[in-house]
Amino acid sequence: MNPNALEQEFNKIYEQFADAIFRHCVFRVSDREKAKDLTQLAFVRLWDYMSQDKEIDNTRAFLYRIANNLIIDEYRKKKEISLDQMRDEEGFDIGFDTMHSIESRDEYEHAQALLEQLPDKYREALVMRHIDGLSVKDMASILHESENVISVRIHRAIEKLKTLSQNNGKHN
Amino acid sequence: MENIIKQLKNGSKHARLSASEKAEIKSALFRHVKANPVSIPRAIPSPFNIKSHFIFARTSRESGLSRTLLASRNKKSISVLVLGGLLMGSSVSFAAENTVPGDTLFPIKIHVNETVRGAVAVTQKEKAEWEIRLVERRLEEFEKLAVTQNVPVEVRQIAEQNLEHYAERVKNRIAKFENDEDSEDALGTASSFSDVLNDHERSISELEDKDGDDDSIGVISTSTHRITTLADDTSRVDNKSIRDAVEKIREVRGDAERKHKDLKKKYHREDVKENGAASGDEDFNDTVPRYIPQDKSINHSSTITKTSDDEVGIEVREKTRNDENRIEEVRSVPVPPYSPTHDIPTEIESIKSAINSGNDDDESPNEEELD
Repeated sequence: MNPNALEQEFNKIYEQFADAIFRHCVFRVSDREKAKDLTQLAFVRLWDYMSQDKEIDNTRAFLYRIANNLIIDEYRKKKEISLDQMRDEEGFDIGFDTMHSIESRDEYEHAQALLEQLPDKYREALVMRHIDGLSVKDMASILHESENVISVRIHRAIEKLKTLSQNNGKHN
Repeated sequence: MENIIKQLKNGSKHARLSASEKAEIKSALFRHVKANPVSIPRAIPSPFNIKSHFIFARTSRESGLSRTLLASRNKKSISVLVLGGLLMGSSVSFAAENTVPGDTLFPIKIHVNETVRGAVAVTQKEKAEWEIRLVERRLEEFEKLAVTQNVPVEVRQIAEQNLEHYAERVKNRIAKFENDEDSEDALGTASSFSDVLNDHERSISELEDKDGDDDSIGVISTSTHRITTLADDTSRVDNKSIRDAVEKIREVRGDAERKHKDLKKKYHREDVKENGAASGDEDFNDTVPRYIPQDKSINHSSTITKTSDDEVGIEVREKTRNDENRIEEVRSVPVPPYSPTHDIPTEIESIKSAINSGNDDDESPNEEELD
């Protein structure tokens, strides 16, 4: 492919998927700045792959796979400061666009809080299925699992979320 | 439950990059794209692999003029190197062919050209032929130096030593043939060796005779007195060097011919011995030897000799081999002259019986009885 055409193609992909990848990252790592870095890094990796003139069948799934791998790498790094600590001490924003209503913001924060309590395996499945809107088939491809395993995982994640939500309600 | 999913979805809708963040990431990505342009993965092309040049040429076509130039220059430089190397090698070797001792390229002639050409000779005979050719080459150099003016004495000496050395090699080769009892090759080599030396001696002797006259080339071509004297001087020097050369070649030739003669004698003698004609070197050509083995211990051979003008006899040589010594007995069986009245089968029978009776008695045959 012509180098210029490839660059244009890359730009197009960025415009199309930048927000989605960022959203995925922000719900996975609960850190807006980190999510931004991860998003940028995911596109850098995508370009490195594209510039070698390699074929990509499903760009969307491919981008999610890169992002997922980066997040796994991120998890492996030792967490030095907890999210709460940062929010309290530095006025840290976990990623919500301040231009939206307070109601929305509450919903978002509630969802985020619930997700944070889930084990990462379930969190990953829920974010991909209900926030990113990926199909079970795509998820199976990205996570290298069978569609059955993914379906079961999503179901269990919802069950877990339900339990957590009920527990939270009781506490409140 | 539905609410929670709905909450998640609603909440996520607003989680997005601001325009400035998006632009920031985009510019960072743009820098990355510019820093890492499109490249087709390829192995480092080996300059020794023809295939790699094709790959190189393909990528260069895709990524612009500079690479094309680089690729073509690379290919060109390799071919220029290869061609240059070949040309250099061949021209140096060609130039070295006509050198004489003292020239810069002479060692190349001796060590490279001759070694390579000598390597083609596989059999002993071919090697011998090549060594004779080498002697011829040394002779040519020696002669060339002898007729060239102002050659330092040391150089002439080197040429002389070379000649001796290579002649020695041929002699060793002949000796080797002798040891291997390869009479044919030993004689052949010795013969062609002395022929070559003879030829060269003849040609240089002619040169010596020519230079001996006052009409040397240098004198004819000069008109002034000074140059004439110089030419006289140089021709004198040449005469001396040519004389020396002739002497040297004559010496080597004499040596070679002596060897040739010795070999001839030696192998003739052996031939004679094998054929049982021990009467001497001179008459072995005049006799027609015939070898009739009858017994392991007794050998018979008969020779037809002409004893007188009208009488043909058969000389029977009888060799009795004992463990320690050989006894040879010679008997003459006269045969009556051929005439049509004679019954030939009867004659042969009588001769045979005469021979047999001699064997049975183990004594000298009685000539009367045979008659």
